Amino acid sequence: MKKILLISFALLMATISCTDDSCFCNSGPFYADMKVKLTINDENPEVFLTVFEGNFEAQDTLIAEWINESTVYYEMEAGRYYSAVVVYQDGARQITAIDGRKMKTSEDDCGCDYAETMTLNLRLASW
Amino acid sequence: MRSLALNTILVFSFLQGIAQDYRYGYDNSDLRSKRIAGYMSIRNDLNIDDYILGTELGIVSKSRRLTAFATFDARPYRKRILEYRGNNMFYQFREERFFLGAGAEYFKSFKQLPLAAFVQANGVYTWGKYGGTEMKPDQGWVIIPRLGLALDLRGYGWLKLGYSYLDPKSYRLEKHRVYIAISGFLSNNP
Repeated sequence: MKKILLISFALLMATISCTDDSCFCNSGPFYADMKVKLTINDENPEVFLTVFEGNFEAQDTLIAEWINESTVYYEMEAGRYYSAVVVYQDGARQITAIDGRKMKTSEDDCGCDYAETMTLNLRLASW
Repeated sequence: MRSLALNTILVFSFLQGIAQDYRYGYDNSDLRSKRIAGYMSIRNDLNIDDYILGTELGIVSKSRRLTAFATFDARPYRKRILEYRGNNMFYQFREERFFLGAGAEYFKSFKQLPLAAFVQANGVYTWGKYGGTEMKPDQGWVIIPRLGLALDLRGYGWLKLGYSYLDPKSYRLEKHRVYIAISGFLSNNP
């Protein structure tokens, strides 16, 4: 009786430990947040943000809107390169801030792909 | 910057303590037993505007006075660069910057001290890229002179502190820098 109990327990543990089968990978596409940091100040209470796919020279516009917050988030598809442009007024100077990055994918413990969040920093430096 | 200076002084004091029972200088028998050795360094060229982190792989002569090395350095972050485009208009980019090169160094040790003066010439090719645009920052060959003091870490390597003149070819950046490097022999240093 003791032997049967031990075998049953071992089988039960083996069944429970086979949790790798619970990994169901999604084939994509994968989406994550793209954070865009901006400078909002007295001179620039509202700025016009343009987000492009690829470099900004390609002019493949995805988003174009007025923003009055210093941080905004957009859900974007991973595996693509994005760029963003904002034009600031700084006294007599006009500063066009440009940044761009590829949204990458990573693998989790199950070996499944997921999209990584990324940040485009368009904040004005103190020059 | 103040904490960096303080930490550097503390590290030097600590290493000075370690070097207390150091056997100073090499006599002829030392020289006969020595051989060309490989070493590796982690190095930094920094100022208030900018920070470049790099690695150096090289060999040092039997006399421990001359080294020849290969280097790779990079800025470990994307620096904001402001470029003037005329008519009071500027572009602000995020720049990545890399350096690949080779060089040579000469040591002059002080008697009775675990210290040596060093002078170095490092020829590098530098290139970079801006985020979000096809425009590229300047690239090309640069000679970086460095000089300063090296503290002998009881034959295990050196700690160097000095001055470097590094022109990263980034738009209008300060070129005078503080140079800090720590080196270690890749095998036993007899």
